[in-house]
Amino acid sequence: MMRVIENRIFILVLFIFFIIIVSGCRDDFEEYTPVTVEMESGSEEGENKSFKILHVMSYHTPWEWTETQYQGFQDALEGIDIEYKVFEMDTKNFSTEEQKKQKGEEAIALIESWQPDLLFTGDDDAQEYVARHYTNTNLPIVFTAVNEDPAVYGYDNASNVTGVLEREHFLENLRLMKEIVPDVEKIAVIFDEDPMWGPVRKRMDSAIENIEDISFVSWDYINSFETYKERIIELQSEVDAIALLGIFTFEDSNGQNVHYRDVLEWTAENSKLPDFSFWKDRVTYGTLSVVSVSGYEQGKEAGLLARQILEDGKRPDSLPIRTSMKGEPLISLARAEDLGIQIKSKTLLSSRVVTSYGWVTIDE
Amino acid sequence: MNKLKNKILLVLVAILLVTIGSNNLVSGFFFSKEYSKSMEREMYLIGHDVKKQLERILSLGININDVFQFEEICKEVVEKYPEVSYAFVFDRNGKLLFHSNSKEIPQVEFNRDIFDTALENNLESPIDIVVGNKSYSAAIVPVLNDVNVERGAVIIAVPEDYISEKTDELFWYSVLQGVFFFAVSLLLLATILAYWVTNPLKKILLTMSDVRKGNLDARVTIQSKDEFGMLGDSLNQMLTKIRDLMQEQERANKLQIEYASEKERSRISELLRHAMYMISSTLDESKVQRLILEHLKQIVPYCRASLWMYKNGDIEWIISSEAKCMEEEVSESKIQTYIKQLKQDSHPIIVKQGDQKNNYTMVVPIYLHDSFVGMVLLERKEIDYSKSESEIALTYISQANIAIDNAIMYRKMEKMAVTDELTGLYNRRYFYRKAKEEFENAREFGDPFCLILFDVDYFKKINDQYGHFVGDEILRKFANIVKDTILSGHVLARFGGEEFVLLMAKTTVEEAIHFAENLRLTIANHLFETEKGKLQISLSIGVTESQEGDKVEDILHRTDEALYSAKEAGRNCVVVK
Repeated sequence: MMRVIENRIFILVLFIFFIIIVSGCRDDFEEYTPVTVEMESGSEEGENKSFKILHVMSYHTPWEWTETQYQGFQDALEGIDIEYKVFEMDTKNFSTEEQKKQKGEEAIALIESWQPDLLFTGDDDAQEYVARHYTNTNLPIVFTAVNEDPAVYGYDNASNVTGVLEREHFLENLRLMKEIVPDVEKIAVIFDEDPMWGPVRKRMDSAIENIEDISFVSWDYINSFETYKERIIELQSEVDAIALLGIFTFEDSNGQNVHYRDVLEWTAENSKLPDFSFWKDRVTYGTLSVVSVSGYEQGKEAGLLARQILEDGKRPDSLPIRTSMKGEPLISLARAEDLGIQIKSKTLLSSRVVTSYGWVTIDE
Repeated sequence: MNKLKNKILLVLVAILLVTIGSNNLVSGFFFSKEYSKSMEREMYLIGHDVKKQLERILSLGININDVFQFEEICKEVVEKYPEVSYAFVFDRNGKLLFHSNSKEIPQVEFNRDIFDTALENNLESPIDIVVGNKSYSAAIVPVLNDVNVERGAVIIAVPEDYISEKTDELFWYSVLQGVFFFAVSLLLLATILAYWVTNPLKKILLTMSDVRKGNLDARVTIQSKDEFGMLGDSLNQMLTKIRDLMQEQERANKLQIEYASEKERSRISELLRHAMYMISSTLDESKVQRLILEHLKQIVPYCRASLWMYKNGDIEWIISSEAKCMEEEVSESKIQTYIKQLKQDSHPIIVKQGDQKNNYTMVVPIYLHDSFVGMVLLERKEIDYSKSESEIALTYISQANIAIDNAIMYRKMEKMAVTDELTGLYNRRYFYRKAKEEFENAREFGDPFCLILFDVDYFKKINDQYGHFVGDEILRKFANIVKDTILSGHVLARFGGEEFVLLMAKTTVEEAIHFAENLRLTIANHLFETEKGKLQISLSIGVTESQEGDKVEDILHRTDEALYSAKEAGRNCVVVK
């Protein structure tokens, strides 16, 4: 005789036990178990399609500035099948007009022969000698680290160009300085007489309008090293900090240019005021703090624009030209120690810290 | 049915509760254990993160004692991880350098040996610490400098009761889950039990209930092939067999009843036939009445029976059976009620007396020539009279009526044969027959026996003078006077014309003479009212006593001689011979 009912009830009870046991052990440890989430990016179309990108850099590599730009650009395009080619104009070494033109023609020849899907150009020379020849063509152009007004290269009316301008992180510098030395209220600004500082001053003036707790009491345009020294000594009692911006064209008593490293070394040895600037190598030579334009961020912002063009099919002129938002904070711990400044742990941890002076390392 | 369902549900609920309870207990134990481990791992991870930051600062060449405002990092840790109460940084000597407490420096106590061992071996270790008066579970994470020399330690502290609170909280989640599951399971079980067990059993019980009410055609609707389905199928088969058996039994009973009924009809028929034969065999009215009661006893059993007949316009009791079993007599009021009812309806009355003695009565009417002439009362105890019994009794009585009628007619005819038409006295024939019987009895038992013969004096003159009609009237009135004077057992007869004879059994001659003298005087002094006026008559009386060796004729002869002598002696006198 079949014990149908007994079997049914037995199966039912077993099922309930199973549910109880499974549900009882179900989610107790779930929220404490490390979970690895893999972000998938890119559409199917983007993953399957391959592109060719030519990166024309104004300078050379290996160099941190160009390397980080390129790395940031590649990181932003991760996941897309891209074949890269890099052309170095190396205008630091080929700095004459003729040489720069020559390099530009070589780059153009490469573009014509290789037929890239997108042109990525870094710094101003690559725009002047290469990219501007391709405005309003079918070749999408993404630039980065451009100091000039984009209109100089005709980018303001170009349908196929977008990119990232290189702009100093003035406000971030002020914030870092206040973080290191909270008492700073009066700041003096030092420029040399190079006209390139005109646009910088203009952008600084514009930003200062919104600053309340700091006043810029002195704007000095200096030509000689001696004047500089005198002015620095004078400022020791007049201000709380110094913005050391233009220090490249100082001449000594013999009319010879004084290298900015020497200027900075003298400053570190003789100035007891905290100072800051916009470029990272200044920290190496004793400037207390810098929020530098980040090559990586410059490259990454440009890479994100390129991604939208390649992957999403957006037109370059639909993507506004922008500046990089995030700078790179740097601190000279050696200078801080000399100035008797204790830097908060949190500040140290969020910055690149240079522990010794550049000349000490060189001497060693 | 609900009881069975409740029992099964009770067992399953108990199993569920035990299972859920034990599951919660076991999972709670392992959860607590694993949660503690997980919490420890988390403390190490947090501590490791703090350590990395501190080591990064130390890697800049900053002495751990010169690190500035590392409290902010400690506070961030506590803000980021709510379960962490404190984040401490101690130097290698156990001095508190940084802490996450924003208000005051906390008093921290812990086992220094564990702390030192952890730093010496560069091992992340668990440690119990006390901050204020509260106990905490904590993790030591040693901090090294660039040359891997320990410079201090990070301690991350979590309240000891945090784990138990968390475990309790999750335990209650588990309980809630169990309760929810229990409710769902109970609902599921109840539904399934209703579908698998209760409903099939209800159908079976309903079918059995129908069967109990007599519906053997009721069947269980089989919906499954499980035990209940098989049980229902077995019940259906059983009911089919029972129905077949019942039908067979019913047929057998019917045959038996028909046979018994036929037998009873045959018996009744035989009884009726025999009874009718018996009752038709006699013309004796009293015998007929007695036989009626006897036959009814066999046809319709009774305990007591009585026959009531109309006589001279009144109902009279005629005869009763022996009735030792009946204590009470039938009351006059009941008799009158029965009569009244029977006059309206000729059918028998069946009365359940309704008293405490359980007496049952059936009253059967007697009709002669469409006239209600009497009734038979049948009474018995315990068993009520049936309609069929009343019909049989009525049938019998209807047939017996003929016998009653015959007996009554015979009685009347017989009376007419021995009665003098004018006076209503016995006639000469009857006198001779009776005289022989009495004479034989007297002679057998030696009793005295007298005979008186008397004659109305000068009766011819009365006829001649007043007419025969007046003469006849005087004779009738004379006969009535004599009839009223004689004793019981004496036989008075008209011997012929105006001559009468009186047979006096067990009477001495003195008594006879005395009677004769009184009679003579009574008549002589009596005035007979006639249409012709009042008349007087006288009697001549002869008296004789039987003597040894006499025959009836001898006595008659002597009496006649004595009468003749009285006539001779001048009439209106008594002569004895």
